[in-house]
Amino acid sequence: MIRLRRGFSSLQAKFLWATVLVVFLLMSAVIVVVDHRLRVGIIEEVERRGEVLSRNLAALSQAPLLLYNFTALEQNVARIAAEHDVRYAIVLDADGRVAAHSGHPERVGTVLDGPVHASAAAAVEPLMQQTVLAETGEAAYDFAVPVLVERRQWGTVRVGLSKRRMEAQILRTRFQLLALTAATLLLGGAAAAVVARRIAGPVRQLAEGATAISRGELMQRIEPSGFDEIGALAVAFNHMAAQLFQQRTELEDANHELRRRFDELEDVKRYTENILASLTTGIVTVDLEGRVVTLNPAAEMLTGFFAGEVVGRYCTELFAPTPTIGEMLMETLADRVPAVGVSLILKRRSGAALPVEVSTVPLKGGEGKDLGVVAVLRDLTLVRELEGRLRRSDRLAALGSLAAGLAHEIKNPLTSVLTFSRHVARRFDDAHFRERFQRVVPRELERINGIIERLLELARPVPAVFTRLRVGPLVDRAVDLFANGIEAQGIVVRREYARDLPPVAADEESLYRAVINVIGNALDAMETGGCLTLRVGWATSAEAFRPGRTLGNHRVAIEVSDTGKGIRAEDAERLFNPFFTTKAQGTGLGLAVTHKIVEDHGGAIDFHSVPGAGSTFRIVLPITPTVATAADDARP
Amino acid sequence: MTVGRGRWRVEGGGSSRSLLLLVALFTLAVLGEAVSAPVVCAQTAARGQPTEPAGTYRRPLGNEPATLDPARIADIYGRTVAQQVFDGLVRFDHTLTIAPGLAEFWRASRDGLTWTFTLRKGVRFHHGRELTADDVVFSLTRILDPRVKSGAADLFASVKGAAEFREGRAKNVTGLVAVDRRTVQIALTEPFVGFVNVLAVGHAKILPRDLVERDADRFGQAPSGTGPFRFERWERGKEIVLVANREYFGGAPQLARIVYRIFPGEPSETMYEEFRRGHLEDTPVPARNYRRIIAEGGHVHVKRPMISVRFYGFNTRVKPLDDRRVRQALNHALDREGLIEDLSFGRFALARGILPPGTLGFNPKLAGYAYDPARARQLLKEAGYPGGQGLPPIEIWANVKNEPVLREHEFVRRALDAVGVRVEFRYLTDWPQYVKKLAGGECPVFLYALFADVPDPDTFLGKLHSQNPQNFFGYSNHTVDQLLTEARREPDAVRRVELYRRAEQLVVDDAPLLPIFHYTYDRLFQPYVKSVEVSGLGDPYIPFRKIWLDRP
Repeated sequence: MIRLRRGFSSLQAKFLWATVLVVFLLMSAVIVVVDHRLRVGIIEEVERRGEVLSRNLAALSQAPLLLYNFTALEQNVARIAAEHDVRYAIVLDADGRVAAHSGHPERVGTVLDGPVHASAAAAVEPLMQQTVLAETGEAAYDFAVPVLVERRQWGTVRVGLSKRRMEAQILRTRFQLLALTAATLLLGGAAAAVVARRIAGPVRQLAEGATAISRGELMQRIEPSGFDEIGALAVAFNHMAAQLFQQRTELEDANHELRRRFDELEDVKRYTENILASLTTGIVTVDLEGRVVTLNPAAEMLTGFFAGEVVGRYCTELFAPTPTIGEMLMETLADRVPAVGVSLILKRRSGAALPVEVSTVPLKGGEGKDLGVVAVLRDLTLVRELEGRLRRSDRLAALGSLAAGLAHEIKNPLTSVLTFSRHVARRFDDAHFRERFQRVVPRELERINGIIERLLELARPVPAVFTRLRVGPLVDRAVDLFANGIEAQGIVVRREYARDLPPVAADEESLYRAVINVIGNALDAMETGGCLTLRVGWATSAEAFRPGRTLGNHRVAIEVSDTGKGIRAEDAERLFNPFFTTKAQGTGLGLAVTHKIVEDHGGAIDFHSVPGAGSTFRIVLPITPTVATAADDARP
Repeated sequence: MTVGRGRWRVEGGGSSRSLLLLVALFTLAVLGEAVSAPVVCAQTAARGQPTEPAGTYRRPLGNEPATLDPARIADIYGRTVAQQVFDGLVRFDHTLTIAPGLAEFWRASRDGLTWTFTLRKGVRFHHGRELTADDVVFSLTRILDPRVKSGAADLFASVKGAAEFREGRAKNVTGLVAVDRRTVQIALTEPFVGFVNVLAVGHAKILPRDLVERDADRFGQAPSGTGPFRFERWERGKEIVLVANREYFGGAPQLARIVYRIFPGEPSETMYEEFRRGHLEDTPVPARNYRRIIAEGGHVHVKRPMISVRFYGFNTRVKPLDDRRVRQALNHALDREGLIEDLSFGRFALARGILPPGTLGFNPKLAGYAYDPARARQLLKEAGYPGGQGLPPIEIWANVKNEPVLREHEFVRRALDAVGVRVEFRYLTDWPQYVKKLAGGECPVFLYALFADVPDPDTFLGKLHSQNPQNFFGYSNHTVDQLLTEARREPDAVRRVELYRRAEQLVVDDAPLLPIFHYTYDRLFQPYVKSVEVSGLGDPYIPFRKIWLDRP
């Protein structure tokens, strides 16, 4: 503060001194110029006055000189000499003798002595000389003008003009100028001091305020000194300080908020990354150009590529071994329509293959902005293993129930046969007995044989080669088998076959038997006057699979609907188990065999039923059964 | 020295020939001719100004000059011609200040009694001989010679020995001495401030002694001077021809020749006609159709007041004019303003007193006599002529008899008749006869005009000095005489004015004359005439040396 104060008082002093100096220099210059000009002007004026007077006297004296009218000449010099600063007026004749003298009439007729007089008398043109008057000792101008008539000099007039008045005037002017300078200096200095104080005070305040602000003390306010520039500066300064303070506060708040948001974002990111990293599902994102953006560890595992290698490259390169995925990504990228749950065999970089389910979904940012596409790869290896294991355990369980059912089915006829065989010896003669024997024992044996045959059929391995066959005619052939029963029962058959279905690769005989089983069940379920509906077409599923969308996904469905009594919910579980039947004469092997045939073809069978209203069985068959399925089935 | 004669000269008025001049002037007045003053239509433009004398200037001359001998000339016509042929020792420039002429320098003794003139070197007469101091002495002596009867003789009366010479007691004028070939010394009997002015009058030209002595009369018909123009020939009644003097000391003139065409009797209308036809370079303006002519254009009209006065003089020694009251009555009786309007269409300025405007001592406050017939009758009654009873007819003499003068006289007759004064007009058109009659006091009332050679009051008031030979009025007033004598010697201009004003007032009170007007110079020039400097002394003094004709 002390330093500042001294600095400003020195500014004040500087301003003061500079102003005084400038004023002094200016006034000096002005004085020099004005004094010079005034002096020159005064001298010029005096000289001109002398010249005019002497010329006037010369003009006045011409006629008297020609006429030698000395009286007139004397009158003329007296008139000129009457001027207050004219010290003498003389007319010389052609010989240089005094013809008229204003001051010394006694000198008339003489030749005046002295260099000034001599040169004046000899002047052939107007001449100005400086002289000192002998009587008073004062400085004077001597003006001599020759009087010429036709180039001949008739005389000379002379006028002596005192310098006293002129010098007094010059002196007075100088004095006035000096006084003016002193006054100007005083006034200028005073004014400069006032102005300097007025400027320096507020400036000092401003500087102090600015220093405080630079230290961060923003709550600085300065009292405005007035409405001048300095006042405006103070107001502006105050405004600036207030603004600075407010902005700093806002900035700190914003910084806090930003840091909080950033932390949040960081958490979210880490969270997401952790999630992504911990996912067993592979996630691959691509940008709008199809370049890979992210690849989570699961995806790295699945594809065999590291994120570092492939990020930024085209997704088609990443999925080069399995181009279908790349195509799916590009298609979704192009038409912004997701593809969900497509099962594929993913070929890894190492050449190994594994089953995956792939979904591609467009990535949308805020406000629906397109960001790219995300591909979700789900590893189905475990699922497939579990499915296989489940199938085997199912089969074991079915074998258990089959054995129980078989034992139960065979035990009853065997018991009858055993009983009859025990009574053969004792009751052989009994005709009635024999007649009963002959009727029952073969029948029972036949029944056992039938069961065995069905079992064999159930256990028969999958035929190795399928033939291409059309499903519609096959169904028609199966219905024809029941033509008599249908007619007898008065059942209406409706057919709804899709056009242009491709042939299906299948074993004709077994598929025929499966269809017969289903239709037979349907007819058995209905009483007189039912309606049997047969549909053959593309398998449309709830998963919104587009027909023809992906190769290998084309499947054909055969549906058989009846209007029978339906299936009870407690029976639905065991419907496909061997030896489960609701019919008095059924062996319970029909649907089991049918189920096995459909599975052998890589297809599926299911049903839905409304008790009392009817049931619908549906057989879905792939057009081309998968190798895996075939291989899978071939293994056990 | 004779009182009443002095430094100042009246053109044509210094001798018995004044009346001849009067005739001429009168006619001039009526017809519109006038004297003029400085540089009126001077055009100094150098365009087309010839370097060699070129062109002929034709002037009308109102009458045949009697002679061209400057000492003898008493009329304006001879003066007009002689002024171009001769030079004096000094001359008036166009501002009427004295300037060197043949004398290039002069000095005067302090007492003003001795004047020494130095002649220009190498000035030659037209016949080839060089001018010497002897010619100067001869010429000035000749003016004083009674046989020459020069009108300027009285002006030189103050030269030492003049009286003795005039009276025949001396063969020479002792005051005129040729000191050497180029120096002339003139001694005066009394200090005479401004003696130089006398030497500038028209009479005091320097003549070649040899030619004049051989045959003075013939010289008068075929003069030879030193002037800018040389006399060539003179055909009586027709023309006088001058040609340029290329050796003129002041530089060759611009004109090759001047032809003065003689129109006897001042027929201004004829002159004007000739001027209109382009046969003259200048002309007076005819009184008839004056205004129309002036308005017509095609000429340069030069008009300015002239230092002159025109009046009816009274012989104060004859009855009934010896009675001052009668003279005053006549002054009151005439409506002069009406007369001027009638005569000159207001061109001329009413004269209340004698001194014309432009002369030293002119008094604008002078009352004079107003037109007052009642006062006139009263005065006549006081004089013993109530209603003009007992008053004999008064003779009024004039030297010109033409239509304007007759008209004027008719006007006068009616005016005087109105107060009961009967007048008879007498005409004597022979100028010398007329002047002789005036000098003899035979004319009770006479028409007269005075023109200035020099713009000096003495030119006019001097005529009323009782000793002045041209005092045709018989007027004698001792106080006036004293004032005039004192004034002539007074070197202080202010005091002179005072003296002349007092004298004029006394004269006007005594009414020895009836002033009518001051002339106005009024002349037309062809537009191609350049550098006309009309000096205050009038038409004869125009320096033709400077004039040139701006035409192809």
